[in-house]
Formats: sequence, C-alpha cells, structure tokens
Amino acid sequence: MEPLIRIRGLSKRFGNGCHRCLSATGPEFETNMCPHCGSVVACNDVSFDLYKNEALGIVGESGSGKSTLVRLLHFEWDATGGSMEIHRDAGLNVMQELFGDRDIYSRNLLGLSPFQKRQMRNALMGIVYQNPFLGLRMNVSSGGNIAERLLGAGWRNIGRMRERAAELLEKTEIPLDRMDEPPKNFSGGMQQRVQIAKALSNNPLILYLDEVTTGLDLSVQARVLDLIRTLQSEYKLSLLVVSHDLGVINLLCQRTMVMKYGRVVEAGLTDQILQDPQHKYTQLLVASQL
Amino acid sequence: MLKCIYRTYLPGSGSVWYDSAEYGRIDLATLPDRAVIDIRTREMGYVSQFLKVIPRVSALDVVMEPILARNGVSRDEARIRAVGLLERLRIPEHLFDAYPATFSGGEQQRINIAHAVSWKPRLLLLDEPTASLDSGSVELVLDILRELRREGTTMIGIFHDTELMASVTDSVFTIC
Ligand SMILES: Nc1ncnc2c1ncn2[C@@H]1O[C@H](COP(=O)(O)OP(=O)(O)OP(=O)(O)O)[C@@H](O)[C@H]1O
Ligand SMILES: [Mg+2]
Ligand SMILES: [Zn+2]
Repeated sequence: MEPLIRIRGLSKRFGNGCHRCLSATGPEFETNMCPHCGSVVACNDVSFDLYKNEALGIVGESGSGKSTLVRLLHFEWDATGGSMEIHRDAGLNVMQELFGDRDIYSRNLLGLSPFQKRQMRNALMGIVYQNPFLGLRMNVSSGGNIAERLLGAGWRNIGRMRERAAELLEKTEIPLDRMDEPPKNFSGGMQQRVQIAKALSNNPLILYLDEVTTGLDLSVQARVLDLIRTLQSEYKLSLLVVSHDLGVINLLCQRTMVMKYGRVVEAGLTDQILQDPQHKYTQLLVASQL
Repeated sequence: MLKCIYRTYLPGSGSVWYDSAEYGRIDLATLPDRAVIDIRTREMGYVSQFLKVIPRVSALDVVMEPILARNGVSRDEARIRAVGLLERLRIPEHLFDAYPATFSGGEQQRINIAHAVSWKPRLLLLDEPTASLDSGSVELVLDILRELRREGTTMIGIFHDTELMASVTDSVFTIC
C-alpha cells in the first residue's frame, strides 16, 4: 500500500534567516532560535508518510514545533520549504489537474494558490484544536457552526445542512435539543465534541488533532478519546495526533514521531518508542511520564 | 527476545528471519515500521504477560476487535466466534459486556489470550501466557493452543513451568 500523503522536507522559519540558522539550532544546541540573526526555526526538514486509516502520533515538549507542523499542513501558515503530495487514488473528485498524466502523486500542495488551498482543505482535511475558541464561534449555535463550515464547502440547501449538522452532533453525542445553543454554554468536553462534529462535516480523509484532550478531566478525556477511536474506524480516517501525553498517543497511534527544537529526533512504532526509546530525549520523556 | 521478534524492542544487532506469507523471507529486525504493522495485522500475534486494558471497551469487544479488523467477517459472525471462545475459557456470561479493568487477574489473562488467538495468527508469540492462571484454566488455554497448532499456527513461548512446557512444545531452547 502506498501512503495517502507524502510530506518531505517541511520547514518553517520565523524571521529573515541567515546562512547559519540551521547549523546553530536544533536538539544539539538546545534551542530553536538562531543566535546569529534571532530567527526561530520552528520546524526543519520534517519528512513522513501518512497512510489511509492510520493514526500517526507527534510528541515533544512545549515549543518543539508540533502545532507549527499542523498549521503548515492545514495551510494556515506558509511553509519556508518542503512539500506535501497526495495520492491519486485518494478519491478526491476535485482538482484532477493537480496530477500529471502518469504521476501517482499530485504536485506540491503547499504551492497551490489560496483559492486552490481552500478547495483542497474542504475536500481533504478537518482540524480540532486544543483551544475550542480557535475552532468554534462561541456565540453562534452549534448547528450554525457546522452549517457555516458546510457553506464554505459549497453547500446551499438550508434544510440539508441542518440535517447534516444534526447527524454529526448525534454522532458526537451532543443531545439534539441543544443543537441551537451556542458552544459557550457547553462544558469543555462538549465543546471538543462540537469541534469534532464540525471537523467531520465535509467528510475529510485526514483529521488533525492538536492536543484535543489536554486540560480536560480524566473521565471526560476518556470519552473524547473513545469517540475519536470509533470515528476513525467508522470513517477510515487518517489521523495526525499531536499530544504531550504519551497515554493518548499509546491509545490512538501505531506509529509516533518525537520532536525537539523543531527537528524529528526519533520515529518508530509506538510500543517501541515507549518501551525501547532510542534517542536520549525520548528516554527522558518516557521516564518522566511513567 | 520475544519483544525483539515482535519489534517492540529494536535489536541492536543480529537478524530475525521470518518466512512471511505476504512478503516471503524477511528480516524483522530491520523491516520498515509500516511493514511491521502490516505483519502484525496479518500474521503475527503477541500474548503479553498481562492484559493491556483499553478503558471502557467491553470484554466481548476486546475479543471481537481483531476478528473484525482482520478476518473480513460480519459483526454477527465475529460475535459468534468471540462468544464461543469466551465460553470455552469459562468466562461467566455476565462478564461479556463488562469492562475487563474490573476483572480478576486470571479473568483478565483469559481475555488477553482470547484476544490474541481469536483471529488465528500465523505466528504467535507467548510471554508466560499461563503464569497468572489457576490449574483449571491452564488446561483450557493449553487445549486452545494445541488446536491452533493443529490448524497451522507456529508458536514461540516462554514458560517457567517445565512440565507444562514439555506438554505443548516440540523443541525447547534454553537461555542461561
Ligand atoms: N508567529 C511566530 N513568530 C515567532 N515564533 C513563533 C511564532 N509561532 C510560533 N513560534 C515559535 O515556534 C516554536 C514552535 O511552536 P509550536 O507552537 O509549533 O510548538 P508546540 O510544539 O506546538 O508547543 P506546545 O506543546 O506548547 O503547543 C516555538 O518556539 C514558538 O515560540
Ligand atoms: Mg502546540
Ligand atoms: Zn540565523
């Protein structure tokens, strides 16, 4: 089986950069900030494959570049370098022009126009943020939040949008009689479930989850994780799961990448990362959470 | 050693040659991660010493999950197989829909074994599968293992009880 998407050399620098940025940052230097020019190398040369219906974990300490990676892949920020390509058989019925005649993979999606990126995002991706304020409009009804997303994806029929919103909220265990209430009335766990419903509204192939259970009570956390597991197998989703919490990664992901100061220091099977970590930093990380 | 074969540990050196149904002769020690996942999904099972409990998944679902994910059968068929296995292992019926987190050590281990054998892997690694079982349950488990072998599963197991080991194995490899 070939990967659904291929990421190669993904990099993001904040600041103008100089020719020494890369040789003066990273885990060996214990910083992501270039001492010569002050630029921040938020992530550098990250490469990986994501397969259909797999969950890939990304762990690493605060500031290691995890969210940056997600924002680049969600087209929220422009990458400094690197590529993202999607497999021809992904089942996208938009933008066939992205594929060369014989090519199995599309051209670099990071180089698309803003309009094309919006289309691609609508056809391909959903995202759930740690902070529900980033993913939801807190004063708009929960149903309205989903309808808004559907509008953006080209839906026009109000009745069908309402039906779809109800279906998704039911899937994510939000009582339907609360569909017209705004998320600001909801508990943290419920807000995350509305975010998940919204992220799934366009039937994405890929779901980005950035610390979705951080800060929730343990029992609430367990319920959100259960939901994610169920939805993943039901919709055959590919997940990119960012978390500080190795327990979350262990529950959801078969493979894991470990990041530090913007670099991937180790990648492997999740049970191997947890039981036989190779990099010194991973060993510390695992030891600190035992 | 078992963990090196299953690739939970990365061998520092050496090879683990495996004659895979899917890939032919391969070295598990250096196989790419995705292929290891594939082999684990299609061919290679592992029975740990203790059940790794997934919160809030019922005993029956724990046993059905690998059948559903691997054997391409309907939910009803998977359910029938899983129930059959649980009954054989004498798990009381009222526990089928309960969460294993609350089970006794012996019950948990029988769930663990049912989970590992339910999909009939081609290669099964067993890390002291019977250590936490009473003698009645040990016989039930050994029966299932013998049956699996007759059906073609190759097994590598760690046993402390030498008498018991002699009753299920063809060859014994001793590490000092
Ligand atoms: N707009 C920006 N300008 C400058 N630096 C930034 C900007 N956004 C992020 N950074 C820096 O990039 C680095 C990576 O940040 P990122 O948010 O990706 O970390 P993270 O791994 O998600 O951390 P956390 O676990 O705390 O969420 C950090 O050092 C951060 O300060
Ligand atoms: Mg972050
Ligand atoms: Zn610099």
